[in-house]
Amino acid sequence: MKNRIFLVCIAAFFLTAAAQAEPVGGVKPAAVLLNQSYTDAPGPTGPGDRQALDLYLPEGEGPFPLIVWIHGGGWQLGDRRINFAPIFNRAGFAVASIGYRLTKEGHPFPAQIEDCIAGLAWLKKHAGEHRIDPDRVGLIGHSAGAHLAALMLACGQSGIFSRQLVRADAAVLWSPPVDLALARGRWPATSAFSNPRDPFQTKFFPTGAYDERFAIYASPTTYVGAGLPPMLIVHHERDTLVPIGQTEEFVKLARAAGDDVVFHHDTRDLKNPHAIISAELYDEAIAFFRQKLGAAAK
Amino acid sequence: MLHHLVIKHVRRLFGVAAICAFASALSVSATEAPVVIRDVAYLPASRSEKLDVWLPPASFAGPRPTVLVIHGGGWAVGDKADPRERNFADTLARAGYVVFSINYFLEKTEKLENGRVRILEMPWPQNVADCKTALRFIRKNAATYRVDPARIAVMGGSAGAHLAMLVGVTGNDDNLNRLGDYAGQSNQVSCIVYFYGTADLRRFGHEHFHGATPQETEHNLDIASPRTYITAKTPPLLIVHGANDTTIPVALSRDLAADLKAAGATYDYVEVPGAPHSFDLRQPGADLTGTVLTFLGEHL
Repeated sequence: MKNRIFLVCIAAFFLTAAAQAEPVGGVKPAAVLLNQSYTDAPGPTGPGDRQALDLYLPEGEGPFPLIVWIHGGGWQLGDRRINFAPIFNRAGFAVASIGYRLTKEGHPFPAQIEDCIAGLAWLKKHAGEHRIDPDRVGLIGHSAGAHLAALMLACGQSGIFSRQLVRADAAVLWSPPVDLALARGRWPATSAFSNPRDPFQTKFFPTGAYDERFAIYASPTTYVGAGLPPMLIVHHERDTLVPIGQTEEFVKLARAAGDDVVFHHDTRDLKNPHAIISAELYDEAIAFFRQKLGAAAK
Repeated sequence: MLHHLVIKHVRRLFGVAAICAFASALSVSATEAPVVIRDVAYLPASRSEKLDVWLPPASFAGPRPTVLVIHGGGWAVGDKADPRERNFADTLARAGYVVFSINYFLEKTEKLENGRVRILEMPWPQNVADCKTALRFIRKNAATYRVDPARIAVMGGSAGAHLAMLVGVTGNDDNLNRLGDYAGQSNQVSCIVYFYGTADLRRFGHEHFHGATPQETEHNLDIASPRTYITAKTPPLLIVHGANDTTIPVALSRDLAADLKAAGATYDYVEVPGAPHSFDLRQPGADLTGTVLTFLGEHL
């Protein structure tokens, strides 16, 4: 019975990873660059190559502010394919989706954050060729992707996870696990995170087992302090996978340090309160990025 | 005492003769203290790190077997004269070994006003370059310090164990041996004493070996992980690990022992019941001095 509860939780975690198919809104972007390797790996890349990114550019001269999507999937599943780029393109934003190596494919943390940082570094380096404004970059992610986006925002310039130093200017975090430490993060005993047999513990941790020290090292909460760029955090009060309590604590710490945090306490009637992505959240994110990054091409 | 230790995969049990030899060494140490020569320069003038030489009492006729001690501290902190390293050096020098305890390049960090830490300089590969330089410095100056250049062991705890083992297993690795000074001196060691370290950086220590790109990081994790180099010819290794280590899990050392066994290498594995991370030879209930001196006696 317990196992079944874990499986349901895991399934819920991955539900939002599969967000491909037809473009939402039916508008195709003006230029698309798919499967671009952000490493020095030789040879062509394909959709299955994790260390690659997709780039969707709006029509116009640019330079465009850039929104970087980090996919979810519990660090173990999911891929970078998206269908919502046109929504941001129409609002004047370039969109990049960065893939990263997955824990289930033999790459424990911090491979995921290293790759996300390398992807953003590539985008900054090649911004000119692709009409991107490297000084107006927003991050957006859901679930594990929001965790990675939060780490990029908080640690991109600290050298904690990569020798490459990258700055992002704002972030939208949807249902983010910001604290992976079991007690500090208030994870319920029924959570997949608390199950020693769950891939979160066996694949995320390099030693193959939960390690408090490593969980703290891997948690955005650890790095909250003054000087964080603006954040919009959306978390549903009934999220049964990632407890809202850890986000509330994160927001409290960030605000106490003087950071600019908008906290959207989601109370909608949702079948799965972890899978919160919706048209209204896209609109909210666009309004937030417009305010923090500026919308139109400069 | 030995019966307090859980000894797994031990290829040779300690002989009565060796224990008697150790007892006679102890009786000498009770009366004569080592002479310590502090802060000897072994790196280029631009570098501030130094080494200490612990000379055994003059009653030990030279040239002597020698141990290079590399301190721990997560590749970021620690010192050649920390309590553990002083305990190692003092114990071994009293038993007739020349001991070199070194400082080497550490990770440079900066504490920000908000309490966060920024890494300014990664320690790799300068840390192993310094350790290799120290080994060759010892050989170059063997006559000065009564060192037998054919009998040198390397030893360390925690991050120091990682570096000690890396130095020990890469004696023939041109890629790492080209780092540092005194090229031309041998890079070989006779055996390795490894206290609760990590031989697989993918499982512990990853964050101190970043490259400029994910590919470079993968490359670093390969060439900086001692387990990469394990063969039947790996110098004899003494592994000591606390069963209650909450910093570096004991499973890493159990797996290292399994890897050494599979490769046909020579090793002893000593798991200390109840011991946490970081202890020296005075671990209560465990005669680690005898264990280490017996191991060195057999392989050095």
